[in-house]
Amino acid sequence: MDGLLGPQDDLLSIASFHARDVDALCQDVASIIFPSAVHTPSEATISAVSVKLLQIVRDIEARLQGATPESITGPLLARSGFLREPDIVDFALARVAEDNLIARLGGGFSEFAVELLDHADESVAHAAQALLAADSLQLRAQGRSYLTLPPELLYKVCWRIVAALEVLSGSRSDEVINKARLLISSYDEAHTAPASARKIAHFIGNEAKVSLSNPHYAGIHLFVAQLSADLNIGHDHILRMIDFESAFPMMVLLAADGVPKDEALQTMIALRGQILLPREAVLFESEYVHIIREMAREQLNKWSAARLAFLSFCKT
Amino acid sequence: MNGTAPLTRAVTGEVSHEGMLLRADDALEQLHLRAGGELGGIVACPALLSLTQMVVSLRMRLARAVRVSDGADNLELWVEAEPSDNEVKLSILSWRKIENVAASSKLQAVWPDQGQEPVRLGFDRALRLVDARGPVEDIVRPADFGSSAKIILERFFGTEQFAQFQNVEKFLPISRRNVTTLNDGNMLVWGQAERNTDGEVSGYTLFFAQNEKIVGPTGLGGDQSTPGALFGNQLAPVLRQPLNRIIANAETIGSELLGPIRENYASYARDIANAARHLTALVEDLGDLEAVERPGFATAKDEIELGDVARRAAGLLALKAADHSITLVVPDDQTHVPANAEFRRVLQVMLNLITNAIRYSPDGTEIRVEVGAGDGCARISVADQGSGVGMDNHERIFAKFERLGRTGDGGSGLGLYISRRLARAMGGDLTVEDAKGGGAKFTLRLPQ
Repeated sequence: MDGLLGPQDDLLSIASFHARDVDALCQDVASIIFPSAVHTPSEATISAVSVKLLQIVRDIEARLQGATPESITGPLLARSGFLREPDIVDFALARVAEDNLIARLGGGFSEFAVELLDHADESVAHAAQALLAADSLQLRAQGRSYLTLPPELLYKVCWRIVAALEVLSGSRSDEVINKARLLISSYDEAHTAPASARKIAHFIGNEAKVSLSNPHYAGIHLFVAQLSADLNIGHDHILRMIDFESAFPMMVLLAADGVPKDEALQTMIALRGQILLPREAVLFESEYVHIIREMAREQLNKWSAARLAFLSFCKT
Repeated sequence: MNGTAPLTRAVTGEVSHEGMLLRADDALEQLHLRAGGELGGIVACPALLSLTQMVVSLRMRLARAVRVSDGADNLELWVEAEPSDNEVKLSILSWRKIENVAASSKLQAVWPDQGQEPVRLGFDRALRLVDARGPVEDIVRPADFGSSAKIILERFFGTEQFAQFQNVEKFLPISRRNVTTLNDGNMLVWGQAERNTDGEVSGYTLFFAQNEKIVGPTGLGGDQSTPGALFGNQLAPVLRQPLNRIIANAETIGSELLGPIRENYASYARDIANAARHLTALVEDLGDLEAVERPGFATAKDEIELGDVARRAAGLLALKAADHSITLVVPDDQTHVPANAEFRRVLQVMLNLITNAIRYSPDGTEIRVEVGAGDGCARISVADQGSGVGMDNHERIFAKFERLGRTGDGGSGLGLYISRRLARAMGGDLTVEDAKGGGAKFTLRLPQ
């Protein structure tokens, strides 16, 4: 990748080229062959995706019929191809990206969320509390990883596990079904990290833009939520663009949000400092200020639409 | 729900499993009605309906930012939705106005100091024009679709400037730059290659925006009165209508059609009518000015006959000339000088030249309209017996808003400027010289 810059090095074009993988990578992961990807996920990423999904399956199984050392339905679900369905793999990739970004920020909690616990607006204070709880209990502690699933996926995975348990046991268990119903009905999206962060961004996004734009201070959830609110792009899509192998989609993301160059550089270093290539840094230095915000937004909308179409219809 | 402040208490509603709005607080009900819903009918805001349907199918509590349109506003609501046996309970905790990121007009803000949307031309991989958006009237013709970028760009900018567009053929980006058009306009130009989902080059998009900050070579009069981009299309008709009513009513009063009035009042009414006529002419001129200064403005190439144009123009102004006992001498029916230019634009130039000649010639004099050909071009000239235009002013007189110190004669200082721009857009020119025996002689040269 490293080399002198040539006239073909237009940041927006390069970003477009790379970002197609953000749209399509889950399909490539599903096929494990990656025939069409510019960037193939590393073995570590593939392994992390697998671990994430099996952990979620095991945590749900534990809620349905008690804890076991190994997942009961995991191998069956994997063999059936269910754990390689695009929306599920995409979700797992976003969680891996989230883990990477949290680690690069030092692994701590959001200082800004702590500050918001005393916010005058009760809705904001409650959301800050939910965010801190979700960050600790769902993402870092064991046993509740399934609560990181968006509602549609939790519903889908939960009932598929119930079906797999029936197949493996050879009989239908009302107790398991009732527990599945209980698990689903006890779910509250407002208590997930993305939703609580997004709620905060909705309520105070305009007044606290400076705080929310600082990933070290805001933490990754609030930082992404603010971008999501500004750009009307999905939380997980943003996570994947920020942690993507190429830095160019993130540059376009920041340009679309109107982030000034100095601030964008600080953000790049905070979130990608360890993996930023010299060529990316040079191109950022020379090209970032020339990106037209509205063109960047248009580009993001294209990526977002392509991704949604892909996840909806499982094709690019 | 008509402000931007956060809600002091949640707005609630209940929706049946079938999507009917069973009950709603006033704010939600009003939003539903404004979105085209009916009381007791299906939830009219698609995003809210979709949320409730998801709650019904998953039987989960959801909490999301939901974006809805409310008239011209785009709102983001924070909605928490909870299922129950027969209905979904909605609680809207907050709402705020948002910028419409997805609006197709987003490129309008690319140049914040410019009040118009840029022209956007899309070319396919073979660099043929396949898409044109924005204010393309007068710029892109139906026959341009399928034509090569080279042909179109050369028509806008000429062969000399084409070097600025070499990156198009290489599918490399063009950073924003100022380029002079063939008709002396200035355009900001930028562009980029388009790629398909496989990352392959699928075409090229060029953007053009009028650069108002740079005064063109003929803009000696400055740019202080540059009209808005939509003036000719939208504002001018709106202005014309009341002005015409003012003129009609003032003339009715001035001519005492409804009964005698004091002489000075009749005089005032005629002044009002004259002032309104002046404003109408100015509106027309500004509309034309906008058109000729639009990036890439081009004219049609009709096969016309200049003798015919001269006779028509003189015929239209015969009464006005007669008012001042001025004789219009035009070519006879046997004179035929063909030219290659847009008929209505040549007629427009001629009307301007003859009107000026009438305006600035003493009563009882003669205005000669002559046609001819030579050096590969056709000529049509208007010579009067007025005071003439001094040598020093032969170029200055074509500047925008240049009046050569004259006031109160109904002129706007735009007519000759527009006429020269039109002449050059047609591949010709408009010049002035001293007429034999005094007066001024304006000559329009056009390709044959």
